[in-house]
Amino acid sequence: MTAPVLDLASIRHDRRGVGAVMGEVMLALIPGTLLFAWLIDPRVLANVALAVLAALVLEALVLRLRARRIGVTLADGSIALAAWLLALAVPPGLPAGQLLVGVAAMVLLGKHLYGGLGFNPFNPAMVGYAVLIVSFPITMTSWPAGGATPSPPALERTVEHAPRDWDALSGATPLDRLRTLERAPGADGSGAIEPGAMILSSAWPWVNGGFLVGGLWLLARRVIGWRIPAAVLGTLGTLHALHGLFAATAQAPVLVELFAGAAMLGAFFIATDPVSAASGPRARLAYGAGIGGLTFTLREFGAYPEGIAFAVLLMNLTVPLLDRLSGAAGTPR
Amino acid sequence: MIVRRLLDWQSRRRTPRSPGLRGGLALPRDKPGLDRDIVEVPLPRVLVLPLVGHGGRTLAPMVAVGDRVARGQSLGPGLLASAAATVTAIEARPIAHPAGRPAPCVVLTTDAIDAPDIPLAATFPEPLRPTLPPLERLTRERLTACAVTGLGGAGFPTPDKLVTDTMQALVVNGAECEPGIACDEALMQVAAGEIVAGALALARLVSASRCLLVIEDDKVAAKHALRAAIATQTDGTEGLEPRLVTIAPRYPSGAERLLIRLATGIDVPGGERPADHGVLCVNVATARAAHRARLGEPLLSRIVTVAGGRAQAPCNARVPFGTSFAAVLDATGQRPRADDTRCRSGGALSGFDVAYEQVAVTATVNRIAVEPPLTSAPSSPCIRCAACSDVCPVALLPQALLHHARADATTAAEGIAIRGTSIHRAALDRGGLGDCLECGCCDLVCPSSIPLTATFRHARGVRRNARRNEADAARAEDLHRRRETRLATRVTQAPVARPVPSAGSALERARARRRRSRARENGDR
Repeated sequence: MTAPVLDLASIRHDRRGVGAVMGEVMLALIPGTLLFAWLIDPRVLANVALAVLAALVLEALVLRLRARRIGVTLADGSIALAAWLLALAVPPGLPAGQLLVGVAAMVLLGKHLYGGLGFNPFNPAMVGYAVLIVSFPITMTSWPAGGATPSPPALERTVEHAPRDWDALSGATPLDRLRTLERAPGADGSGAIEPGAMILSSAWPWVNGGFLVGGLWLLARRVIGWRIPAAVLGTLGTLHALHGLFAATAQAPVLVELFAGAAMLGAFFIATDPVSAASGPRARLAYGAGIGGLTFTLREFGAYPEGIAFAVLLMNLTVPLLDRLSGAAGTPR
Repeated sequence: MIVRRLLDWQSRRRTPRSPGLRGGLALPRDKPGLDRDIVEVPLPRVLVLPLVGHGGRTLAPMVAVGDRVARGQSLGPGLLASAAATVTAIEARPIAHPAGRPAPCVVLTTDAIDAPDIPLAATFPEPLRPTLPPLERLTRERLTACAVTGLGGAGFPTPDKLVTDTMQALVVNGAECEPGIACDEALMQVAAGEIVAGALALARLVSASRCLLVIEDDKVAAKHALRAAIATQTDGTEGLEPRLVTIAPRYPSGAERLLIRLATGIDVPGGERPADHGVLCVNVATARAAHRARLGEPLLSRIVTVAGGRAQAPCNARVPFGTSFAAVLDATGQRPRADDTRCRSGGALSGFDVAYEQVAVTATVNRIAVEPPLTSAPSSPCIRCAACSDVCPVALLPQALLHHARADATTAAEGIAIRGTSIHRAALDRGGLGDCLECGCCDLVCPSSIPLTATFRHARGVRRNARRNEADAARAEDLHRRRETRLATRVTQAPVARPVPSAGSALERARARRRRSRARENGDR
């Protein structure tokens, strides 16, 4: 194009490149990841390292096959970030081979099959997660029972509630455990559990707090917008509150639900992936609300223990429609 | 039904609700040369005045080679001689235009410089100053006679803006929001009184009930100068109090439509003139030129900011129209210049690079910059982050427009959409490409370094051409149909055996005619 160009270099304005954006998101992941490793399972660090390394190598190979610039594309950090998110989403004890299957699905099916960065309709990390959870349902739902934190007395009952032949407490995240916990007292009529003790006894609220801190920092740095996280958490919280009001059985307090499972990671880091999210302001609110609603539905009524991944993938499907309705029609898809 | 309602939702999104500036960027203040006085650039030996009117029309010259012209004499419609001189050539020269194409120009030689001892009055029998007497009240004819033109950057002839005699408001634009340009601010600091007087004269001319001078908050000295000038202005203020409106410094609040909305709350949709909504909007320098016109002085020079990364002595300079960029740079001390120095007309965002330093300063040149060679980061794919639509001051969706502009370019290149009816062109029109201010905010925030504004400028040019071609084709078709009707009636009257030409051959003849006329034009140059 021979059109006259803007002289951006002579304007003093800090512009964040794609690499810088992804870098800041990765920085924001650090507190949550460290808390995860400390309170739940240090093997998560090895998983993150393995996934990031494998993703970089695999993407380099794919870029070579596609005859694209390798260095620039790897340096944008998008695949490293996706691999990090995938490693956080899978159980820390997942066999390395299975993790690599997930990484391969993420890079190939999630990203490059569609043309690489900017063109993938689905969140790549969640594509990898979905492939893993349908391929290896047992290992993908075997979570450590809470790591270093002392087990609450009520846990015994939960374990009794679980099948005897499992050697780890099952559930994508302790959210599932909480749910079981909640229902157990109603079943044997031994009274309610102290919610405060439940929150403090589990490691997950702390990990979620770590991700919340990182997410708020991203908001403050204007790396992500407020609409998607607010809509996800707002919808999720509202639905849990309504459910608590109308459900026959006792429910965990709303705050517990918001700090359980992958809620914060999903709301601030996964749902906000710009490539696969809606782009118009109203479309983003609708997109976030959809993720919140589907997460609630999958959590409460679904077969899988945590709903964020499938909620994100399902809402990815609606993005072209949402963008069109909000006026962002023709956004490259 | 539901779809209809959702589409309404979309259209509502386009209508701004509050008069505040949506989007835009708070860019750091960068106003070169304000610590110095305005430099007077001496009259050069050669003046080159393009015979190009607003919108690129070629003007017919009213002088011939060899003529002696007086200062302020008409060289063409709306084009005045900046100094007493001799017409030495009327020929195609490169002009300060983004496309860099040559255009017919009147070349004047101010031979008085050759003989500085001889007083100019002796060299020329014509009066050095035009003999226009001062007016009690500004008239439209006086603005035309003095060639008062918009000095904000677009160069719209001011008399053409006065489409009605009664307007609600006069808005004087002193926002000058783009970094690197300070010519208006320099003028406001030294000539606030004349600006206020000119604003009042223009407001009286259009019977405006409000006279608003708009300035960005951070131009402290200029703001105080204007405030003082308004306070001391006694002439012509009866029933019309000029008012100073300060706005937050934010790029691009100085864009005409945005400024009108900020100052008056009146919303002028893209493609419509402010005058249609009862607003006259002029630049501060234009207001001052109107004041000077009332006193009898034509508009023959303007203040230009001389700046840039390689400028040794950034300043604001008063430059006679027709002076070459090179002469301005030399006169203001920007030398020596390295061979790879890039010369730019206008701001870093709104301007364009010029290929030759010999191009002349016209009313539209608000800044001359000497810069190092352009470095542009390689762009990567759009990650749909929507940072561009968040900053767009006119609520467009640059990423969607980019997609359609690129797709349209591809389909056009592949010959798919010849008549300009492709879905992408329709999407560009619907998406508001015509509203784009080309302010460059989207480029500034794009993490993928996509040249959005350049793409939009190009696409707008393509759309303009396509629309013109469509209009031409429609006219040709109409003429052909009328001719056929004529021939048919003649046949019924007197049966003459004559082949009726088909539409194809008519088009062919039209093309041949255009080729011939183009060849003639080229031959003239």
